[in-house]
Amino acid sequence: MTALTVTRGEPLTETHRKRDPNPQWNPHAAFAAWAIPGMGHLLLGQRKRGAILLVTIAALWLMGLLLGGIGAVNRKPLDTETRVSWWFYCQSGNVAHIFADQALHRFFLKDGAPTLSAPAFEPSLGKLNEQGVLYTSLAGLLNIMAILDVIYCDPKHRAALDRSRSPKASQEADSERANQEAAGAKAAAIERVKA
Amino acid sequence: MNVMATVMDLTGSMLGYVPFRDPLPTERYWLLWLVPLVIGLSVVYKTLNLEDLSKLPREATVFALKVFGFMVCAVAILWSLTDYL
Repeated sequence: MTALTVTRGEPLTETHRKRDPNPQWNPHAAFAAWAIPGMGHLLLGQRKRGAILLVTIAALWLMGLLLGGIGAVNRKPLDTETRVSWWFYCQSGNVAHIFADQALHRFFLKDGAPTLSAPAFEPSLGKLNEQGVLYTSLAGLLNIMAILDVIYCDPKHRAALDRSRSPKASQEADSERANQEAAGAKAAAIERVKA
Repeated sequence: MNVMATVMDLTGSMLGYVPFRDPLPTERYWLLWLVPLVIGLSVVYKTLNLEDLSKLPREATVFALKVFGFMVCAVAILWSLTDYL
């Protein structure tokens, strides 16, 4: 059996290649991943991977908001009044986070319109603002990586690998693979005899 | 939502700090916040790159240590450049 080296991870065998000959486009999973982190992987059956992404990316975002306050997500910061900040484009890698931030803004604004002496929130400055912006932007960028991971991939291969982690499931997968190979060889032999 | 508002008000009146509204008062220790950032980044990166997730804890730890090592080297080089040259 010839081993094919893939771009990442362990070598992909011929059997895997036969099982999943072509990667697939998954626009629905990409859209779901953009809406909620990890949702794309969950939709493709990669539950553990999706759960880890969901928890980690959401935790990074929350840490950013906790560090810099809700002012860390700002479409037009004070120093760039005339144009949208590049950081905001990075933060927009996840829609759910932007909506959550807007909901927090509304929550703090509901007591009345902010004034100069009583602003709706204390703007973060200096290192804390930088940390908040860095955390939230990285959460958005990592979510874009997750989107790219699901938009064009071979979901069956990974899902099969995730399932085959337990020894019993691994044995079952091996026996299933052996059965498939035997059936394939038998069919080829029959065709040869017929020819 | 009312419960959340009450909790926020209580926290604000007791500590003078309302979570998410005000920046966390840790200006002096801002550098320490790079540690969870690098750990989170390593976990997400390795989750997307590894085929077998059973190796995730080890691989993510190694990757995070590499990033920390690189950061320490960069700091040492830049510090020596700015202070001794």
